[in-house]
Amino acid sequence: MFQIVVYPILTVFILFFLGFGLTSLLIPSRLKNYSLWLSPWFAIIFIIFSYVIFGFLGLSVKSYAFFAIPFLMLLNVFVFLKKKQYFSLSIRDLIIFAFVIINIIFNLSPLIRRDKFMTALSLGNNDVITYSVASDYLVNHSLLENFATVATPSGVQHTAAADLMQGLYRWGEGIITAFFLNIFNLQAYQYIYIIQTILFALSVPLLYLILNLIYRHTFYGMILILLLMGFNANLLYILYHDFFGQILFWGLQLFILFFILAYFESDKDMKSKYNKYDLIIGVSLSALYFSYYEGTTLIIIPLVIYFIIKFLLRKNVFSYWQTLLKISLTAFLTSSYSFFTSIIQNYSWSFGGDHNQPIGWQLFRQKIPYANPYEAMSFYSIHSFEPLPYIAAILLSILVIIFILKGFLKSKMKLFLACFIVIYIALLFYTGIVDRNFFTYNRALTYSLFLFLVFFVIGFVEFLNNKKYIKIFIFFIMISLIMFSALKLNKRFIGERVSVDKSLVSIKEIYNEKIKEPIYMESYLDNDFPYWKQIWQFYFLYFNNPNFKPTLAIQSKRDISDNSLVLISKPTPWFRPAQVLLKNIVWENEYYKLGRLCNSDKCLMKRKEDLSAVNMGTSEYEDSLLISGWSAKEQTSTSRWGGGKESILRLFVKKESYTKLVIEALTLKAPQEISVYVDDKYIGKQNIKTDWQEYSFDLKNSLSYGVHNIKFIYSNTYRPVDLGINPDIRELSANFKKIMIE
Amino acid sequence: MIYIKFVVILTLFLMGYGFATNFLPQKIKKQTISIWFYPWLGTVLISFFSTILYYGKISMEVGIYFIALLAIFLFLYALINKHWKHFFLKENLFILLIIFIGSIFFSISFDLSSLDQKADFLIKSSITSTKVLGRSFYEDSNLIGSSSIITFFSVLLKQKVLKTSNTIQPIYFLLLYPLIFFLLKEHILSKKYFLVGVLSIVLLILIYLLFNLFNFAFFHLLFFGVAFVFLTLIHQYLILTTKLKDGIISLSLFEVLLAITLSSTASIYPLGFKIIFVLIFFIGLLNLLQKRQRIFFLLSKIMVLSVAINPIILGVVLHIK
Repeated sequence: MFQIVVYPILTVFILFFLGFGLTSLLIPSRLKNYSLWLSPWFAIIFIIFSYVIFGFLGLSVKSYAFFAIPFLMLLNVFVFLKKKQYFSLSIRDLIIFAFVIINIIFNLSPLIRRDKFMTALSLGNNDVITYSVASDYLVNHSLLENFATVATPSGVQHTAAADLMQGLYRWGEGIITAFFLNIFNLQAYQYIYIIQTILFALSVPLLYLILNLIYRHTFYGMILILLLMGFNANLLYILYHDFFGQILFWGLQLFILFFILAYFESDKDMKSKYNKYDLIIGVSLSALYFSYYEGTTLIIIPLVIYFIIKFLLRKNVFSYWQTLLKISLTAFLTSSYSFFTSIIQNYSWSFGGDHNQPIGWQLFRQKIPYANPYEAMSFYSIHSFEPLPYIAAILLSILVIIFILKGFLKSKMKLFLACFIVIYIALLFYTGIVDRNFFTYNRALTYSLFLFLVFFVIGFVEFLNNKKYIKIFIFFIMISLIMFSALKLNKRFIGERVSVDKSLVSIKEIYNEKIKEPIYMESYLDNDFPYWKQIWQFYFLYFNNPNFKPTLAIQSKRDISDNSLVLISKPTPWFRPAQVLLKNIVWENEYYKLGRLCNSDKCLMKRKEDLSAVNMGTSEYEDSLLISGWSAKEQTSTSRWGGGKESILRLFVKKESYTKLVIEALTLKAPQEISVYVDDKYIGKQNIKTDWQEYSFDLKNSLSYGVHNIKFIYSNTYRPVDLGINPDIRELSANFKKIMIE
Repeated sequence: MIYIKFVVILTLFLMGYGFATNFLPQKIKKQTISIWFYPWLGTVLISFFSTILYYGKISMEVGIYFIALLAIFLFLYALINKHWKHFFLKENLFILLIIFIGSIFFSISFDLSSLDQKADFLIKSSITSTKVLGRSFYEDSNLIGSSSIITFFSVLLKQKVLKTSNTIQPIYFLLLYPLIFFLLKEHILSKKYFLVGVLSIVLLILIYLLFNLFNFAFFHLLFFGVAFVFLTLIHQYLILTTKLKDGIISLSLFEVLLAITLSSTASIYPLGFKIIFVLIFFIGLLNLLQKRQRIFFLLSKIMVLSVAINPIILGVVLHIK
């Protein structure tokens, strides 16, 4: 519990500390006042950029940190002693600092209130495992090693890390996490969510700096912009789903935008000689390419448009051309691999994919899952409420648009900002209206929201400049609406989150046992085992102990030989694990048991249990008998659906002579005819009704001693979603309570 | 065949022309020898960009369009800035004629050291697919810059790899001639044209014999030319910039060119790169000890830049046994 607060505070402190000297040396003199909130981002960019170089030279993050940390500390000493520079904190900075801390705590609330230990959380998305694996990997391995080493069957961590590093060339997230994992000696699952909340909170002040640059400081403006971004439900939704790439992108995007604005604010800075701005913007763009190149187009295209306009207007053409060349040459030459990969990947994503294929995401809400301008500002959350009435939505959206327009007109550098806004609007128009894909629209919105937030705040401040009481009144209403939306989502997150809970972490206890043979996870026995548990069992079981990973290809659970070690969860009121027969228990704790499997026909024949019948949900050997074509267990039910057109199980005859097969079953909808085969011999068929009934099949000849395979073939399958029963999209045939021979 | 030889020479000159004229300082461009850097700098451009394209998941079949686009851009930009006058000097045209005719009549070939197989592989594959295809990343990365020259011309000329390598080897060998010629002329025997001409041909033949005697390979030849150009340029760089008072954050296009050239030597011949790198480092260190910090700083800048622009190849160089 104590750790949940201490580690984030330490992380924030380290980022400011390591960034201090570097920032003081690199920041152009007229931006010195902004140093404080830029310094953590200087540190982040430096770490990502320099590690990519060292990583490709073969250094792990652990070895790299050995050089990088003293180097950055040396810069601190140099700046402090020689240049006599240090951060000065104003009241304004203290307010922002308090905001950052509150924001971090707010987003860590599920950990503080429920889990009470450091672990990974998600509102449902599984991406977090990929980032965790890459981060863990980089602590002790280098980027080059990942590219150069051929993965062995047991090199599971290597292979999993390669998905992100070689597949997507997305390195920044792993690097920055690994850097702190190394300092704190933690594992990624403990820290991966925390670092995201910190990066998110630290990117919020950057938007305030941009507001200052294109407008001016106002108290109301500062509070409003911090809340609009820091507690925006649309952005929090991304954070709670662990879209790490996008979270890092926001910070880097705002950092780059700030420096570009500062650079172009005055033509005086645009000298033909290479200067600090060129270096900072070029290297930051490289860091962005190393972290999330999908987003780079949202910076580069508006910039190019701006340069073209300047060229056409013939205003200071030479300076702009030189500037463009310097920045692009720096960024291109230092991130060339990612640059070329981004071209290929972006091209294939844009033109190669099928836009109409299912995207695997549940609608944010059934009606209008597209945020309107009012909802985009997070005064009303699409993730918590049904749509507003049309009239209200239109009027409120128009009001927001008026504020945004007013803000745009009152801001500095309108031409430059217009290039960005036009591209953003075009993107939202395409994803929302042309492509009609709610998910890509939402992504586009969260990519581009920031400038709209800034304009909105400027518009608000300008509109109500001389109307103090109205301003305070509206200000508080807006704050309440934003916080209400954020709290609703946060509450939902606490309720619906999936976490790497203590049971999963407890798998690490197996490391203490002297086991040196493969261990089969539950997913080998149950294909429908919950995916979140499956990936994290994999993480804890195999990544640190590759010897545990079975090397044989398993097509069906029947392929797992007797005496193999299997890890099975212990049943809980809300979860029924795989029910298989074990010979003996090798190890167990509060949540799991590790036992030797009894799986072969020979072994099962010797068991004392009566294996001539299976009662779904109650038989302890249910999964030992069901072979294939069975749907996932209904956690609280005493029945089990056949999935697909065919189901197979095995039953054992030990003593008596059996003459008939009895099933108790129902179907979702008539007609449903079941044909039964015993040992591939046709026995008979019957029509199943929609209520529970027993059906009996004569076996013709009595069954001999031994194992017998029973096969059911169904005439139809039905999907509950098609019948309007529930959103279940499984193809279901018949639901069984018991199957027995007598 | 004549047509193909002509295309190879022209391509090398055009690519190097754009690169050199945009990136070299005026003082160096004015020197007659600088024209003979063009084909070698064209080689640098091809090997450097092919390498980063391979690591960026792009095979030569696609990558050649990127390289062509870049070369055309640099060429047009150079033309706009009118850097073309001194190309048509008598001695330059004469040497060019020697190279062209020599490459047609002399069949010179060196050990390819399986560069041809690698070059063939890289036509349709990038280096990142090596593991998928059960190949070795380090092995495929070794000498990748040299093999990419063969791949580039093979794709450009639509010729088989082996035929391409036979075509380009005599050209590259003869391109050493003007380097020797101007080295003798400008530094040892100024204005004694006849003597310089004869001596440089004798030296070239000696080099050929040495290549054969020690069983040197094609990549040695490429490295020899590129290293010659690099060392000449770095010498000029120190002369030109030592007295300038730039701040720490300064970067010129000349420095970028030097870094690209140094980095490309790592992909052309890793051992050669190590020798040059250590050599520069010691020169810098010696100057530092003699309190000439500026030279140390300038050389360090080139070395750091060369690492930053293509760290993978440097990593490969460090890990090749």
